[in-house]
Amino acid sequence: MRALVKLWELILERFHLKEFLEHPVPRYSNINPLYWFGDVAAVSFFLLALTGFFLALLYTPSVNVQQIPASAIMKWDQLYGVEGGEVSATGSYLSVYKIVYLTPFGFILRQFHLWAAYLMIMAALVHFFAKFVLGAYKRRGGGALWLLGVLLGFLTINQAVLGYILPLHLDGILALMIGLNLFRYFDYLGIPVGGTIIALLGSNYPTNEVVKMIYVLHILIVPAVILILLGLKIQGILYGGVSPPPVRNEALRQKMVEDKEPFYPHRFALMVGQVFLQISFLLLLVAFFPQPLLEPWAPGQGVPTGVRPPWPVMWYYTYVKMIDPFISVGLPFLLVLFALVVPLLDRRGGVSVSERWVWILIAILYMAVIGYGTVLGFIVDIPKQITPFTRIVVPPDSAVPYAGTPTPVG
Amino acid sequence: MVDENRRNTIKILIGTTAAVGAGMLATPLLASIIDGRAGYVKPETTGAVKVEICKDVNSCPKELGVPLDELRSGPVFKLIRVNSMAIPAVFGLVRATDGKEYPAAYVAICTHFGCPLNVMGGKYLTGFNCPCHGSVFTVCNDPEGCYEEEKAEETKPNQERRKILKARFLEMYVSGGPAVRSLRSIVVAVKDGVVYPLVAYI
Amino acid sequence: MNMEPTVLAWLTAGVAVPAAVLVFALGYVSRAASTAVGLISVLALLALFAYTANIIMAYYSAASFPPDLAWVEKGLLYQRVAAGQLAAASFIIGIMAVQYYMEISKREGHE
Repeated sequence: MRALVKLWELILERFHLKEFLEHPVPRYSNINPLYWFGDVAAVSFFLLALTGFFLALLYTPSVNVQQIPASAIMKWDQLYGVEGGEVSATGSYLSVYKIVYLTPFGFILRQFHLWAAYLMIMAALVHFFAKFVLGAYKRRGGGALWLLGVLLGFLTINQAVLGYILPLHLDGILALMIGLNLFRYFDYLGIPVGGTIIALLGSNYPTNEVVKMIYVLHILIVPAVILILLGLKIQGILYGGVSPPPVRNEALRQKMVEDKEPFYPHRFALMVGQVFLQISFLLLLVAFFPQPLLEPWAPGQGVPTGVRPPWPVMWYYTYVKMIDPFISVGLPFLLVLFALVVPLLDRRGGVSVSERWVWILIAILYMAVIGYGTVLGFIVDIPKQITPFTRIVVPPDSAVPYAGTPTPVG
Repeated sequence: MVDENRRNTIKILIGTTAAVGAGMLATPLLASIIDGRAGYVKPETTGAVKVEICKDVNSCPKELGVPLDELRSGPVFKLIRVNSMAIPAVFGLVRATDGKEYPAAYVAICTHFGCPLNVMGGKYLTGFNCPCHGSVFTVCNDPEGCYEEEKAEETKPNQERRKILKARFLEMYVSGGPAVRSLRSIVVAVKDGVVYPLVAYI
Repeated sequence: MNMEPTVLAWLTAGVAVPAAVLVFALGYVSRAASTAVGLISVLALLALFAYTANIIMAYYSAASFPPDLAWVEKGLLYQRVAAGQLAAASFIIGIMAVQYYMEISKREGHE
């Protein structure tokens, strides 16, 4: 036992971890739930990376079509019904099918990855709301952390969409095709969206190269950027402190800020507890609420109606259907821009709820916009709007399949 | 004082050189993923990207064509591979109002938001519908072109309603739903009973 | 013969739920007792997990494509039971860690 303690002390000293571990952290953020969700999102990210390592070892991206017997598709996966004796499936789908149904612990891996992803997005949204309510951007260094946070939120949603595409089930392929073609409206404003997509990706339809690029983005490039931004954030919080408690009385607030404890072992023990409680929560979700794999799809097959996107982007789907697409395809960028502009607009001092009630109302409105869109997308089949504004007459060259006079064959 | 100035100048020069050097090093990295793809693609102001599949009918490989006999029993889906591109093409026979059959091919991607299209029609290709938001595309099968009546509010007084060209012959125009532009087409040519795709508009 | 997944599930719940309640409640009374109960129950749950994992590894060595629906369902049940066992063990460890924090952050009256 003593040898272990000696070893631990040696590691702390040689790796210069003592200053990091003895760094004082405030106690008020341990009790107030508004401060918890950033940690929840960060821990979710690391759990996703961990399960992602094993999934990446088992998964192979491919659009090569294979015929599989329809009996292989589980009945709980068939949301839209599978007809016939044989079904066409892509290599990616079969790879994920193998992981989920034919590999020991593969099912747990994939379900844990899925629920951790949902938890990360939910925690990121709550964390955004909490920091908005707390006015965390007001203190010195808070604006930089806010900027990092908005970028991280945008990248998290990107990761969710990219990851959702990878199994190449029906929803995934539709997500890929819509993602590739969604912004073609901007072609008419002179922005060569179509040409740019083809220049960068080589195709606006799923091919092996496109799917591989999505795969590399999802497992390597975007997580690397997230990791760098996260590191900067943690650095900022460790040496700059978290946002002050929302207390009106200046003296009381100062007292709370100065009531500190060392990171190790106090906060470290709490973090270990949080990590294990989070793992336990996710595993309970895996055990009691497993999510289906959904059906395969291959090019040339019919597509059923009524396919909806997963809940993280459901609000986008709802508003794009309800509002003129020329305006609504830019909605996420509008939301991100507004989030970025908030620190510039909200400059008055004061961190308590009674002083910030206007901005708290704006924060509630922001979250309500997202929440309303999400809920509406699930319960209502939005009527499709046709607006005269968006009817464009297409120049003839690309619309008629003949370069001269059509010749009949019969 | 002079030393400070000199130090700052040197710092700026070194910084600029480092930035330029980093840009130079990054260029081949970015170029490697854009290589070759941008070469043969020239985006047009219409927003359509023109992709040449075969130079002419005679140099088209047999695998890219669809036999007319196969087309006579119904529309055929074919995934055309050109370099790094994949084009989901639906070949079909359109029965015109003059009783003749015309072979045609279209890119089966909805012009609304890009969902794959479902084919409508039995033996003859009559149109497409989109399962995502309900856009319906119909082929104009009148060799004179498809016209529609001018709306009442746009008619000049004391003149009768004119006919406006809604779609040209064989254009797959939007007949319902939120899509805004007609389907992109693939220019085809027939040789020895096989329909070959020549140029696709993406 | 292997235990059926539903039997395993009830066994796990029978160990995990009383243990979790005990660890939580004892924390207010005696930290030493709650830690002891916690450690023993975690070891028990991990033993159960090892047993389930053994079953799972042997079960999936007989995987074939296309798989039989009933075979797949049973395999999934085993995996869900294993997830539940790990969940219970993690939960108890988490509570113990939080209790440790509450102990060391007390200003006076340490045990």
